[in-house]
Amino acid sequence: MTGYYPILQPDELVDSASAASLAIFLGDSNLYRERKRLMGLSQVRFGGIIPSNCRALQSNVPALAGLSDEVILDGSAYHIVAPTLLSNERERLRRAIFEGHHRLIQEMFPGYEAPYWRYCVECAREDHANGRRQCWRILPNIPGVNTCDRHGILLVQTVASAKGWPTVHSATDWIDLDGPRQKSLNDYDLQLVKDLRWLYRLKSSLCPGWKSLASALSVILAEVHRYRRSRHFLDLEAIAGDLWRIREGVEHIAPRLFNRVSLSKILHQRERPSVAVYSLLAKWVGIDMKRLFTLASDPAVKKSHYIIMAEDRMRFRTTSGLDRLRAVKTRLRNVLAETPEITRTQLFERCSEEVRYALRRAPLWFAKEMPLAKRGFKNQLEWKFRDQYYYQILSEKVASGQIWPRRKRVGAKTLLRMAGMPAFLLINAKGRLPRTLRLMNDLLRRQNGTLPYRSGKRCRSSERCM
Amino acid sequence: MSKSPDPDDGRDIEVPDMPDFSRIPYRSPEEAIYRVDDDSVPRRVADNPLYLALPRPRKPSEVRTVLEAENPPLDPEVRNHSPEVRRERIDDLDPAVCTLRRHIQLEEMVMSTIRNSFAYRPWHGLYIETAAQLATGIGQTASAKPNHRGGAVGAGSLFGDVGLGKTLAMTSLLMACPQTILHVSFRGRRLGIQQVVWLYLSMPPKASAYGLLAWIASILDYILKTSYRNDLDRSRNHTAQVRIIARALAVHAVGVIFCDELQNIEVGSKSERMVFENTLQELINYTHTRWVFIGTKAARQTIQSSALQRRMCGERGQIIWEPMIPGPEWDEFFKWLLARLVTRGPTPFDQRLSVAANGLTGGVPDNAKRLITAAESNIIGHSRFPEEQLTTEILEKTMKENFPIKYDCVRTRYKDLLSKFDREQSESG
Repeated sequence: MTGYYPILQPDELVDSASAASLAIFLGDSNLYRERKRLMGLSQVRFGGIIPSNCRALQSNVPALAGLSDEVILDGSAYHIVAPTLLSNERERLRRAIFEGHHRLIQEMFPGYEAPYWRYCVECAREDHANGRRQCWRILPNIPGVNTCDRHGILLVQTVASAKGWPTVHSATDWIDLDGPRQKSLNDYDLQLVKDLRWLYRLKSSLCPGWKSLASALSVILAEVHRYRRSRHFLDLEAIAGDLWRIREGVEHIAPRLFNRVSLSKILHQRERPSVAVYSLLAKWVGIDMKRLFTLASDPAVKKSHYIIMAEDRMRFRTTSGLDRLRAVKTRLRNVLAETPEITRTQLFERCSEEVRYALRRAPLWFAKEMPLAKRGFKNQLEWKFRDQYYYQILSEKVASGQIWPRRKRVGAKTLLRMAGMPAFLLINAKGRLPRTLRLMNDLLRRQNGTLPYRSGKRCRSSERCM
Repeated sequence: MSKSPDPDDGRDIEVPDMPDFSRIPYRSPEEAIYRVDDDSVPRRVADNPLYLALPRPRKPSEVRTVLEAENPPLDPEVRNHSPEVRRERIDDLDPAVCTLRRHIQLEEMVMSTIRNSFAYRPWHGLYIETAAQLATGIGQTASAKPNHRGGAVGAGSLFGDVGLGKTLAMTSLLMACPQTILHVSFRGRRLGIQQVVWLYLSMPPKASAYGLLAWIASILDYILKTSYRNDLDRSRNHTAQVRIIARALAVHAVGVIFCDELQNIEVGSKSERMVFENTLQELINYTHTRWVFIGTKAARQTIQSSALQRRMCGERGQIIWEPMIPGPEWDEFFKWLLARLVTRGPTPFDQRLSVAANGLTGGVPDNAKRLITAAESNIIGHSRFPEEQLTTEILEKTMKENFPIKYDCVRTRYKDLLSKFDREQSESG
């Protein structure tokens, strides 16, 4: 057991106090032995904003130091990162802090540590004036932070490695009370550190998780008209483009944010960004972290990918089929009136729910009134509706007897021409109009009693036409 | 600890590895209770939690209570029991209480040394860190010489012959004072300091510098569950060892170290004694801990360093206990002994009996206890002494039979004292 462990000051990192304790006892001893005595394992990495193997630390310091679980969590970045984690991730992080190796934390937060210790000169001067020990604090050492929230000045970066290997850097040895004091002029920096302070004060009492936060961000972004492609899709290009314009001066907060792919990963909940990214995005869309977290904790946002979609679903459920069809038609007409040059694909992306519904319930109306689809081999979605459309037209013509041929033996091209459709429709489709093809084969079999029509694409045995 | 070499004139003796913890006074750690709104607190220490957590000065009656708490009061009903039962109770007698006058003087020295050791510490929020930094400066040329502001000036010493009850009195007084005080918070500010008010160590049989350091480290480990002894044994040189102990004394704010059996340093060689004195001097210089040395008169003369000799005179001077001579002090002690006899009939105090007892025991309380218990044992249940009361003759005969060698030494003085007393009595009529 170590003889003395200083009391943690408000906002002080656990590792800062450990460094102060080690600095006292290191003297003639070697670092490995002292670390083993204090941290339980000599291999445990010392330094950083999220400590590890703290159970051993607790058992190796005097009880008088008051190093309880809460104090350790308060003395780490846990309260800042935990609100963005899912419940299982939070549990894993706690395990890593108290019982785990630092590699667990590295796996969870790759690169989530400042390379060098930072401090605020004014805070250090206040500590000195009040007879307090100099220490490394939590907020200045969060990645992306470069401003003190209390004094609004830029932090001073030392060359003391925060990873702390193989040397222990006690704050007393590094903090210079006469360091530079430069006022921060960046609103994003100030907002970030204020948001982090707010999160730290919450002490993990509000933990929506990163998926809900992404949903909340999507909802907020979807409220901006120009960022909406459709009811369910955000125009990521537009968002990324606008973000790119503000990257000057804020790149250090989230260096990987300013491209469409990263933004897409965040908003589509495929990647957990850092807290700084949320703060930056929230500030950019004109809200603060508090509102973002409040919105993310809303059950409606949690439940749905996009809150707008959830509202629409609710509305559709309460209306009858005819009313809904009328509403869908009105909506699509309005969209067309607003943007006459809109293509079908754009229309589908903007109002996919309405387009699907219209194609299912009124395909002819949709084919007449809505813009034609552009051809594209990769547009599988378009082919699906096209198949539905051609099948419906062909079956209606057959039922009304309009395409009944006088000749005994006819081909598919003739039948298609008689139905008012392109003669090479099925050949060009290359198997992408299966329902229409099946109907055509049925017609040919009934008419000619011959082998079915073969499309240009070779059929597999399981799909072999009758 | 291995067998010591004999380079100069040191004696080759086997030294144990660890102190005998069963004989070391130990009190469980206590949470600090600060003196508040007390006008008696000096202004210079009004903000010093290390001082304010110490007990306030005691009245003479409180000192007596402290000392007598060690001795169970005699139950008068014992005298009605059978001789066998009373023989068993003879050894209840413990001469912890010598005389109140001596103990008050000793208590004043002990407590004032403890208080001053904390009063002169430059207390501030970073005291522990600063003190540890100062201690780490031992042996480093760049380190500044510490400015103690009177912190290391005073210490103290208690010298006296064997059997005067120095150790017993000292440990009794120390046990009445908290040993480890836990400072959780002071005036709304968290401290987290373990203050070791006093540390009592009985010097190892061969008191070398390493022995002293090892004993301090072991006792600190015993009290605080630390591992300083391990560090000490693994350190690379003597300077590093001194630094480790100095740092430990600083970090735990050790107040006073009571170094008993100082005469053991005689066993070491001359060079060992010099290293010992230098080590002690460095510890005194680089820590705020004070030292009180307890030992025989010979130990006092063994210390050659003039600086250390100066340290032995604390704010209350040196205390040297001599054997008691017939007079009020001895009478007080002898009355106390007689009151604790378990004989059938109580022995009334008699001036001649008191003088005879002083002459036979040389005025040494431990000897007096042995003589009285031996005499008691001889007369209890004896048909010639139905009342079982002590007389001069019984004491003399007991001395002759039970302590023949000692009797040869004190016989002349005994007879002189008795004859002088008889002469004075006849002159006064």
